[in-house]
Amino acid sequence: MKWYIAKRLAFTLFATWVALTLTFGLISASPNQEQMRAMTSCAATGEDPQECKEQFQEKRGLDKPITERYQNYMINIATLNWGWSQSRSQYVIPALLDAWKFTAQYTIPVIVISTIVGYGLGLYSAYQPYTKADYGASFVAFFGISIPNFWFAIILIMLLAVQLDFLPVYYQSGIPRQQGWFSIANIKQLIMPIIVLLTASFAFQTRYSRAQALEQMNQEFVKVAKAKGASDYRLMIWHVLRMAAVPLSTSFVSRMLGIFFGGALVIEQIFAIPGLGYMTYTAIVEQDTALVLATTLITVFIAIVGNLLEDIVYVLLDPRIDYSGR
Amino acid sequence: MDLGYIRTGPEYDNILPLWFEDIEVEQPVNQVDIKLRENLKFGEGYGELTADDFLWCIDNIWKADWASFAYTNEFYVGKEDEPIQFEKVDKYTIRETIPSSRPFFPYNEPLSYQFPIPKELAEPYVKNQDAEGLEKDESIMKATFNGNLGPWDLKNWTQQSVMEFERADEYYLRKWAKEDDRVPDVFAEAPFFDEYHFQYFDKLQTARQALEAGEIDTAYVPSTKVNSYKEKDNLKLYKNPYRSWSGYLGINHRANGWSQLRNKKVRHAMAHIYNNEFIVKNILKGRAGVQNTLYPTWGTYSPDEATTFDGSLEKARQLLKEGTSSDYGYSGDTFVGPDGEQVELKLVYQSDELDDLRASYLKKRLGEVGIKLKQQTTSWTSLLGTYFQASNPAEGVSDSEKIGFGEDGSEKPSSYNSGPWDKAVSSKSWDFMLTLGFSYGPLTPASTIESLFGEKGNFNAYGYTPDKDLASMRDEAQTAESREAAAGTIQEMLAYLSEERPVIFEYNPYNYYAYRENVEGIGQSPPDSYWDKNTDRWGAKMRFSDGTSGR
Repeated sequence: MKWYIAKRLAFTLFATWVALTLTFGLISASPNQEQMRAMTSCAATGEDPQECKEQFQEKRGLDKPITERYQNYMINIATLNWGWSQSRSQYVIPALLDAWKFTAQYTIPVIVISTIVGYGLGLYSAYQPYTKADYGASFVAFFGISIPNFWFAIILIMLLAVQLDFLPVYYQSGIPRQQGWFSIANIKQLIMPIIVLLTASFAFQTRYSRAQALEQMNQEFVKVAKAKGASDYRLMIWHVLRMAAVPLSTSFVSRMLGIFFGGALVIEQIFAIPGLGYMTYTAIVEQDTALVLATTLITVFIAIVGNLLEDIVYVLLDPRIDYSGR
Repeated sequence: MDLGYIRTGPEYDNILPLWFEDIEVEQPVNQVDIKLRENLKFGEGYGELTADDFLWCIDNIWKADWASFAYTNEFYVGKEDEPIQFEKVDKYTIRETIPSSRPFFPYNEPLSYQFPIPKELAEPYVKNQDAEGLEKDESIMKATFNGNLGPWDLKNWTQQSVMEFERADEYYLRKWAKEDDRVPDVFAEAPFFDEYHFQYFDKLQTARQALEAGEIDTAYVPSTKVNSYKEKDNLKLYKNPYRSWSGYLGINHRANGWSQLRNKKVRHAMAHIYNNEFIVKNILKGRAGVQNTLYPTWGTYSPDEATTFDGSLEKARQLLKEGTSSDYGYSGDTFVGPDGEQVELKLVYQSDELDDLRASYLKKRLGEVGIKLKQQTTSWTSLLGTYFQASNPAEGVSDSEKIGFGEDGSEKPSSYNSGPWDKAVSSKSWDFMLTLGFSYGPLTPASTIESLFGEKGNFNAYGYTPDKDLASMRDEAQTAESREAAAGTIQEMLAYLSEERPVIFEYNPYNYYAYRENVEGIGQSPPDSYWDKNTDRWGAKMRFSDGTSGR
């Protein structure tokens, strides 16, 4: 197992390097929006755009050979010298440190709630299939899967914030600083983003766990446990959930990344939350190279380390699986 | 931080003096004396703001090569880019000696919108010629040395979210409101709030909903949403007709566009087909002014007589027959080309509510004169890079190095105009273009006209080749002995464009702002004019706009 983990960690580094190299290659090959803007600005003021291009490239180090730029880039990544974000007028590391808190404060509750309630409801639906409760849970799940996040967010804003004046329309970033991250005012302004993000992730968890649990319930070992007089609670939690959790755990990280990219990005734009999603979006749109690279690095790292953790959890949940020979 | 002054009306002398107490301009304009107020102070112990600070910044930062300051060219004038000379007259007075007459002074006065940095703060960067350090210095970026130079101090800044400002108690203009008749009394206690917040919204819809819910006080309203905001109980809607932006149907005169569009009669036919009055009345619902040249009718230089087209399809058909070469003509109701097939033209644009309607109108109208239209939607970046940039060699021009102007083909004004129409083209072909608009430079339209439609203009991506030498006319206007003489030349240029129709001029959009009903002191129609919300910097520039903020 230890050898397996060591090999996986080494692979993690290799995969991160490949991802970073690909990102560098793609960014180097794509037209530089900022450079184009600088040239446009020069042309508009009667200066020579070509000269401005050269000045721009010199200033950003883009006039150097690609090998030298690549070398500098890798050294900078490794030494945490991640550069300056043009879109935020801030160094990249402080930018990330500022932004992650705004994202974490609503994604963590979403992950926790959707996992607990989603699995619980899925299990319950599987235990009592084709009952009103099962249909109710299915309705909620399909509703969550079907409605687009942005549309649901706008409807919620119109209803809960504009019509009923119950919640604030947008996220005021001054509130956590002035009143605290766990203040009522801050929690209130997170309710709508959490609800919107929950719909999609919760729906997925419910349907997937229901399907997995139904499959496990027909297994011989469950029947044996039932015949031996195991209580319903023990049967579902100890036998069914434990086995159903094995396949569920293998897609946890990809689901969470899906929440982040599919949800947080949209949520943060609509609710004006200055988090990682909005930051990434702006960085890509404005071709803020330093920030795009940093967010790519973090995402790749989460994905790779997350997969490793999934594999380890897989072994813990199902001792029949053994990596020692690999 | 404040500026030197701001303009409060369209007349040249109608300005509100801010840092600059007095500006003396000699006629013809070749000497300007600027007198600073005496109670201007930097914060953080950097002391008084005097003429020395301006002169030091001019020499060491604003004109220094290493600093790559964006507005360096403002310190040079005329065809030959001669430098303006700056000297100190006394502690508070700077004298500018201008090498050639510059009739638009003082509203394009370069010092009026520069923000001096305290010498002690900038000196280490200057010494090391460290432009990057200067750009990233937190004190400079956040102007923490503001002192009494502006009404607000930056209190907090959460990137991509909110900028919070707090009241600067010692604001210099409070004193002058009592002593200087030109400064309105209202400034005696300014600013009137303890804090002022500027909130960023990526989605305009969220901003408007926040306004409706009473969480913010003002937001921009696009003209397409105006109706729903007219009847809101708790909001007041204001219109500003002085938006500095021009919407038109671009025409590709270059070799990869429809060759017949290079004939004026065909463009006149297009002006009938794509009728600007119909567009303003029915598509923009009257929320824009009709334009028949690059310039709006309300502007100082608007020509008395502009050529107009009444939208007659009969006239359009006639002009098409007359203007196209002999191998084009009508086969029944269909307009056919040399191959006997119906003529099909290509329109490129970025899809949105307004441009989709404009495109549909063009398609319908062209259909009525027997021409097909192929619509191609694309992104803003691609519109600029793939269709507007003209830096590719035309078919048959093999050596891309020789596509420029001049005998050796080395003269390439910009990537948007890398050479003559028959040599340099965009990477993909097109005939018409929507979406892209330009600021028409309400105060200095001569340079805008030349940039867009001069043969060697920086932005002449259209490849239009005028009969008149617009570059010389621009120089003539910019160095005229008097403003009247300059105005005459500019009006001549505009009248020429109106008749030539290098593009089909359409409209100048109005801006709409909604305010909470309890916000006071807004005035009849805020901003009352174009001038009080736009500093001269923007008035003198030409900018790209995708038009989104003008709709």
